[in-house]
Amino acid sequence: MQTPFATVAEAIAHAGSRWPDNGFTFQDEAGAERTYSFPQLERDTASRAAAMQALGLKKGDRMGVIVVEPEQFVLTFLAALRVGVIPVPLYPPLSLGNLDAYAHRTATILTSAGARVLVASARLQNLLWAQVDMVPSLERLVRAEDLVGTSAPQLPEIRPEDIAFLQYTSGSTSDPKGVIVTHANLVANANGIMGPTGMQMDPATDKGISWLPLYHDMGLIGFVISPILWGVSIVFIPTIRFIKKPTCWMDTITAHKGTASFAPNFAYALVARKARPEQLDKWDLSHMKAFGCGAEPINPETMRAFAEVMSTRCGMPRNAMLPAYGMAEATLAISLKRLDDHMRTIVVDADRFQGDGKVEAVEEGFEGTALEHVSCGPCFPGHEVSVQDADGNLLPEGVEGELCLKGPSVTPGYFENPEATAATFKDGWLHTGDLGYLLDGEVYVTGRIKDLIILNGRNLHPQSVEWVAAGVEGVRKGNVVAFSRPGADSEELVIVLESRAQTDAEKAALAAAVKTQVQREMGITAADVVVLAVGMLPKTSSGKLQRRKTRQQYLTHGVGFEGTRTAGATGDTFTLARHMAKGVWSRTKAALRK
Amino acid sequence: MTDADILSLVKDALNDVAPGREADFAKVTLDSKIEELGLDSIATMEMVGFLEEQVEATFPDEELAKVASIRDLTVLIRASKA
Repeated sequence: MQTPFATVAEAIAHAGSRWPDNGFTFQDEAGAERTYSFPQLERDTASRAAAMQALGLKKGDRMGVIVVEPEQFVLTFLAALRVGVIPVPLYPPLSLGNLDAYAHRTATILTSAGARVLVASARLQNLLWAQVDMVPSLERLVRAEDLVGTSAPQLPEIRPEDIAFLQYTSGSTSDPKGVIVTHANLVANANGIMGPTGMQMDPATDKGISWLPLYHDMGLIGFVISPILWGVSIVFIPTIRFIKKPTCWMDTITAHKGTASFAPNFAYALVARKARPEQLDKWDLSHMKAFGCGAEPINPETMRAFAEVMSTRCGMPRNAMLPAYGMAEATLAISLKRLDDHMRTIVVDADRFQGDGKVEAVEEGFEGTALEHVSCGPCFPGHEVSVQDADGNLLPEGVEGELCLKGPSVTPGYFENPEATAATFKDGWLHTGDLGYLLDGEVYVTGRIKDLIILNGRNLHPQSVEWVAAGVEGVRKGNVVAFSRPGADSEELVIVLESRAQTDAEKAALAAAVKTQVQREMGITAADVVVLAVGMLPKTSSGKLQRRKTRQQYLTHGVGFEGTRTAGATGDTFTLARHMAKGVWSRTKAALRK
Repeated sequence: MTDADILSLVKDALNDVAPGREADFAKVTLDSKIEELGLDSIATMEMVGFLEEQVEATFPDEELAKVASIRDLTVLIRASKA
């Protein structure tokens, strides 16, 4: 079975006549709900589409979207797709403070996209006015609520190969990369996610529940676009409501008899930690067939802990946890655990794996060091996953290398950025930068070649952190390294730097200042800042910093020397860290030797 | 609510979202900056959620974005009670 539609524009126009009883339900921040049936969604998006045309927007024009309320976001986004206007979703100011850094990042992306109009929530207008001056192409700032048309829109022909929207989820502040997503990409990916080899979604019985941000691929493609292509009803919880009150996720699933949801690893840990006994007593998760997990490394312990409590206390089917693998460049997902399977992990001999990258499963009672890897299931039909070495040779099953992808979900490239596109595509394969292997046709992800740091689902380039840290007085310029270490729920940020500071007190003060600066400029918390004496950071013979080597030393305790630890790590974390470090980074070195 | 009431409520919120750091949070004053609390953006919003639950109010996003210190939070909390 496949979606009957060739484009998302066609789906929005006709979902109402096919599935008149289904639709999207939007909660506000207090949890009050408003439902739009698919026929009503068709009418409201037509009105907004006409309003966009009245602003002078034409097919192919780019339009920034910074909208907090799911209801306003979805109506605006879908309306743009109907008239071929290319939305560029951006994240709203999420936390307290940090407005200057936020404004700068936002302006960089809007400039890269050449956006003509920025649509924003009414309550964000004052914060975003400066964008009009900062972005040369930007003509006006519009309130999402004001997009009401007075006549019918002139719907242009939308073809499968047309750009639907741009995803700016990767790339650094200095070089933003907008992933092109076409209608054909979206149709192919929706078939993989919702279809018979995916989550087997049935418009008559299934209901998705999502609190995921809509400016991110998992929330937008997984819970807005795929459902409208498949006719499945969805309930949207505002992300901010979930973060403030994580248990509202399970409350909503219970109230709506939800069957499918998705979240990054950290959210499962958060809910398990926050759930009170009286809440567990009243939650009913018996209808859930899929609790998907993706967007950051999947910790099997977190999955098992969540599954244990929710299946014993709330009736969740034991096989509902559903690991997934994908990335923005593959639209959203490329593989999912088979719906009826249980989550599968493999425990391998760490020394063997770290030595030559070969997978050798070990049994209980194994005496040596072991690593546990999670299967993300088989690749979608019509798509291909291969594992390649640094020279582009295909590696056999059970051997670690770079995961490379092909197929109709894979992006044609980055928007107006041929250099970045050429660097990512070689011989027709999308090079993901992720390390992993195939076993029995299933995808196992083991780490990343790129040094990208993923904190709670947010991608950070180490350079951006290093630059901020280097601006603190007392830090030796150009002698800062940032990387991630595995934490309990998500990855954590570590910064190692050189300084002439002598006493422990001076070092501690410098570490604190660096933490504060990174917090202020980027809105992120460094879990550890290590201050080293001059000349202690690993460098190449030509004096270039060796980020991976520093990380490896840190994780194996080698970079403790005279460092001042401002935050301790638990013994558990370090044991895990050491295993991961050796496995990932010894292979990485081999993979990068080009 | 007095300043002392609000400060004590904020400390309860901090200890709720970042357990095990009572000693750090005991030193928090009205002039402490949010960015010096050592919370990431998710924990920060969890803390806001805790405060909203306690005072039975929802703080407007656009006001939250401008909060820099604990004192700024007290203004929001009082405004919600007005």
